[in-house]
Amino acid sequence: MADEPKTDGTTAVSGSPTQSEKQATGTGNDKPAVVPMDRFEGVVAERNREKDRVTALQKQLQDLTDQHKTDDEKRLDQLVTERYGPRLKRLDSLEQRLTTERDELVTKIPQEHRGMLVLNESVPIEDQIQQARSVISFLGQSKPGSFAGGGSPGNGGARTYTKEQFQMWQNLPTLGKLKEYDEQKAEMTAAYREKRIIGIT
Amino acid sequence: MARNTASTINDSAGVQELIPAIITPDVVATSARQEVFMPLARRLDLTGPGDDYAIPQAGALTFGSFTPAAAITPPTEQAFNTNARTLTPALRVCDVIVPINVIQSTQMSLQDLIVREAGLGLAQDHDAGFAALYTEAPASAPDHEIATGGALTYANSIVAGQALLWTQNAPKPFCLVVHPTYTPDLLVDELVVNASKIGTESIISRGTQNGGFLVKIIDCEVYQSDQIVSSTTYRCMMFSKNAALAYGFKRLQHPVTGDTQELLLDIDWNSANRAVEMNMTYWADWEGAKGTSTTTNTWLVEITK
Repeated sequence: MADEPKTDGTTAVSGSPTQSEKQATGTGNDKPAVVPMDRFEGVVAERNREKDRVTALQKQLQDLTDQHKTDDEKRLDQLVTERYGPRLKRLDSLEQRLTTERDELVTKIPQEHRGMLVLNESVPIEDQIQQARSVISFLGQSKPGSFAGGGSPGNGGARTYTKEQFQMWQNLPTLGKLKEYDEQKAEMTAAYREKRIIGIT
Repeated sequence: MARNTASTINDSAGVQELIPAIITPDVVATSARQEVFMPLARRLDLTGPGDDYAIPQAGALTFGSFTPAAAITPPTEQAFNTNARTLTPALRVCDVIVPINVIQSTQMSLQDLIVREAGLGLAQDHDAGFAALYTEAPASAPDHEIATGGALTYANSIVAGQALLWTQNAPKPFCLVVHPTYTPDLLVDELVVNASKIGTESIISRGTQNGGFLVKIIDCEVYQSDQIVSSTTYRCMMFSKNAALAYGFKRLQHPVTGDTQELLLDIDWNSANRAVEMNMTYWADWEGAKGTSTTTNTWLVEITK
């Protein structure tokens, strides 16, 4: 880009790779303050040197701490690292997989039914997964966002239910879950009439 | 012989099926929508062996100071009593008969009609069981029987009742169930009328809701129920929500199907009576869940005019 004349007769260097500019203020001298590139680089280099020095000092402190550890402490550290290090990694990996599995299951449950789940730290992750599986099974969930009529192969698209699923629906009113009861009533009534409840009809 | 299968009682109408497995939860759901007290009480499933079930009691537990010393004096122990309050479930039954001429002439869904009436009846029976517990409010030391001496208002009922319950360490929140004939008093109470100004929905703008809910004022929910006992005057009840009153039930096992349900419902064709019969049974008891006797439920206040 070409250099452009300024009001005070100086020449601004826009897009220059060698200088850094500060914007002029609305008051006082409207000439932009120009920081020479060598000064700018000098300051940056000084900051980097300080940062390196801090890192070196921290390492020195850690080395000194290690040197003053007793033999017993060193053996204990080594034992913990050897024995439990791999286990902790495996546990982290397992927890991550379980959390992912739980999240995938929860996304299959419509938002309005998620109140049936207790998903917090007071409940072990395995139990949370079991809860989600039970709810999905109960709702007859075959794909996200759908219920009642997801269908299973070989029975003309009409879904079958277990006796336990049917009884769980029957018990919803006593649990105060009238909304869920109403939502599933038509399907459960039809399933009963059409003998799609395994173990009852 | 009793049947527990679907009974198509009027093919011409096409929808006159009486299916116990469908009717039973429908009756319970209809009842649950109407009940006032049940959501305010503790529900205890007592299914299993035994006839009497204790609700352990303790007085208001107090903490004291303690100074470790060479000769330690242990603090006085404050014991739970397991025999003070007990639930003894008893059978409750209701039989419905639908004569053949009704079946043949109806143009409406008999199932819907039966479910509605049975549900309302069940709700009334549940609420009546709770309302009868007004007698448990202590008559002395301190007296939990408040007589307003005039209109039932926020100031002379809710505040006075709350003060008594607070004194007794009753767990919050509290709720008040009044008879509908007392509701007009509250409707003209200044604080209730202006409830919207303090962030509470107005009864007048919202209307009453299922479950008899009227209004909530300063941690006290107010409900109305026509099952509030009328004895000389109406015996309104204020108590700790989900703590002062208990409902214990035992599930019944059907002798034919083996299913266990809170409400057992059978449908038969009685050829001698030329009628369809429906027999409903449940097994329950209502008791106060606090106090040392049936007249010392300190988490309950009775309010009358």
